[in-house]
Amino acid sequence: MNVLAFNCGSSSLKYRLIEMPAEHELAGGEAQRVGPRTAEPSRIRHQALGRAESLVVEMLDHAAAFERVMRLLTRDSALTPDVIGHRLVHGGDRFRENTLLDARNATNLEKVAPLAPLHNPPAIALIRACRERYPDLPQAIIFDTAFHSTIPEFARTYALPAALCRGMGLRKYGFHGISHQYVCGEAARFLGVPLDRFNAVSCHLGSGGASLCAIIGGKSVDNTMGYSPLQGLLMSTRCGDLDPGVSMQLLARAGGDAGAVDKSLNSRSGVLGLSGLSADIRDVLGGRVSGGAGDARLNRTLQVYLWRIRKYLGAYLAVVGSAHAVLFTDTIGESVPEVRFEVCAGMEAFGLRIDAARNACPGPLPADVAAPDSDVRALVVATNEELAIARNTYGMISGALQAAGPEVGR
Amino acid sequence: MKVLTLILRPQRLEYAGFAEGVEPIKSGVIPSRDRYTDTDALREALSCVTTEFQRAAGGLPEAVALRVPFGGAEFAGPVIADADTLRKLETLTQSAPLHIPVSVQLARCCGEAAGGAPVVLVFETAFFTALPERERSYGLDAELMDSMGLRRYGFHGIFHEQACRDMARRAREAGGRSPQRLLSIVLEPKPEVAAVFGNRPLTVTSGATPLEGIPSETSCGELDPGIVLALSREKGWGPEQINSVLTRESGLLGLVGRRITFDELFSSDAADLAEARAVIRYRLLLACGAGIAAMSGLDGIVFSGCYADAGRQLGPWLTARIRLKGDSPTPAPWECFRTPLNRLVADAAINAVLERGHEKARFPVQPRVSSLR
Repeated sequence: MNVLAFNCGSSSLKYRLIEMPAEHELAGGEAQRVGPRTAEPSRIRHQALGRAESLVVEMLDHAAAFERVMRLLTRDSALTPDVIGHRLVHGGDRFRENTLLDARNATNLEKVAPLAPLHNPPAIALIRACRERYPDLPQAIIFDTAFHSTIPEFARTYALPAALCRGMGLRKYGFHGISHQYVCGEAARFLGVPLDRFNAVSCHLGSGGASLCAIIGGKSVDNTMGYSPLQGLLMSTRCGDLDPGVSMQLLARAGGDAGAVDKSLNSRSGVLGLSGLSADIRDVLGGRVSGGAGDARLNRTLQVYLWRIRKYLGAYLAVVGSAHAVLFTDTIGESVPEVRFEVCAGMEAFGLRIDAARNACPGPLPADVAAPDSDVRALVVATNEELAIARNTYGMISGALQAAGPEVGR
Repeated sequence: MKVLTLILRPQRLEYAGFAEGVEPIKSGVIPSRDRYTDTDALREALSCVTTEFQRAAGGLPEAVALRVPFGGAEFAGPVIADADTLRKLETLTQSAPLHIPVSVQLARCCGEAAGGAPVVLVFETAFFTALPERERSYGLDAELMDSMGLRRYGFHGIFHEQACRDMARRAREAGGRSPQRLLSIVLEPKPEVAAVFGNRPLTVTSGATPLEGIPSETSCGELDPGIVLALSREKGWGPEQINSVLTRESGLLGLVGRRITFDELFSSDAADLAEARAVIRYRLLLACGAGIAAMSGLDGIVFSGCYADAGRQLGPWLTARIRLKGDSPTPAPWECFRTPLNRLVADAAINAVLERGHEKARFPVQPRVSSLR
């Protein structure tokens, strides 16, 4: 079965066509700069059957990007998808589990669009375009929030009036679930621990968003992101945790304009806001060399970035109790050893001791960078959200076929 | 030394008089409906208080100790109020408009009412002026933070500081070394957790305002910033209305649906409190884990505040979950100290007066700690 996995970003569209269950990648690529024209042209980097190409094409929205991607794939009959899997960032209360697309779900998807204003609308537009173009092709929706549906009530509840929470769906949803679930499965396999007995803290440290996830028995029990992707760690342009009193002060200062505060907290805060230099923590790490006044600001940015990760790591290690491993993934987690070292150093109280030499050169991933005598392993695991989407999609379609009886599957 | 302590709450003035003993010779509350916004009301209240004090102590106080909730980054310890100090304090009004003006006003009135006795300002935030920059800084635009004076200040510094001292003294009395890495948990109507390394705070759960951190009896505690924006967008509420819901209708009240205290939460096994108890205990566990990571270990946990008794339930619950390795003792030792705030404020004032040479002989502060274990 060929599963076409779509991972829709706010201005990009990653895709992979994977033959399942062999997990053999047939084709893949990324449509970049999707949306209104920018200084650089929109482009698709495509790879199929051992051949790579880069095409400059105009893609004013994700539906257009989808059309161009399908045109590239359908040039070869071997690259025909049997099923499509989509990533959707926020399923809200309506979608606590991954789901197959049908008419009712398609209507409900429109209702969760505002929950993640940057990510949900383009992904939903893409799903709509897929449905119109290929009405007979089964489609599955894989939610970032679904993995976190196992977070217990006491951890997902905000201490607000209960009726208000019920009425507005105010609770912790958690994000990056597809990635956390994927690296959790990979790490359990790597360590030879059955998934249903695997305990860990997963650190998804992206160049944009970032979150930690506490995992017990292979299931999410907490995530640093909350009702929205704003809460938790310091991110590239997002503020992370913030005193609600400060949020209100900012709202009052903006004359009650929630949109202006939203923009400030989502786009002008985090690493960019603190450093005043760059939204990428790697630039901050590399920039602290001159010894000037700017260095103090960069140093503070780095300290706050690391401190938040370290505090949440300790908090979640306390929650998990006896962790098998701490997992590092995504751009920063996989490729910046300084970050891994700083947040793991001095964590012997939790049974974690990182090996400086192994951490500096982890080698092929997954890699264990903990000291040999560390009770808790420190693993660097490459995330693969598209493969996770394909796995989840294949699992749902296979399950549906089995449930429908042997005749249907033939 | 005869000391009068004053603690101004939103709608009442709490006072206590101390002489030679540990317990107050007189204490009481003077209610107010208008938050003591005018000087005459304050003068009238102080007149009652000093009359009561004189009756009980046989004379005017030798020092007045005034607890001040906010001293910004400026006041790192108790200070004796003078014109310059009060002017400096007034400059912080923008950061704490509900607390600073009335505290300054009260300090000025105290000087007159107490016949010229030194008035000592004891700040809740003083202990946290030593917070590391990485802990006190938010992830906002740096210039915006500087212009608005936004940083983490903490809220219960007086309790934390004394509880850590008491824990160290208790360890020494038992023939051990002073614990270096302590989790200090203040159980007041607004609970607060701090990680204290060698008497210096490294983390604290309350933030720029007391709203952040562990939920209180009526306020929300930690909240996704997106929720404040959602309340504005979806409900059409302005900052005042959001503030009212978050500070007066949330916390335990929001979770349970009726007014309860933390004492009731932890001592009762009523079924309708189970979820709220689970929420609060979980938040405390997270804060403890974060604090341990900050200190690279743990030597003990200390509970204080008016609900310190609840530490007898929380101590075993927390230490059963925090199983540490390396050089951290497991299970971590824990203690509860229930010295009331007015006594702590009085002691801080006495020390400040002595240090400034207002007394020639050193005043012997008597042992006055009541442990619950």
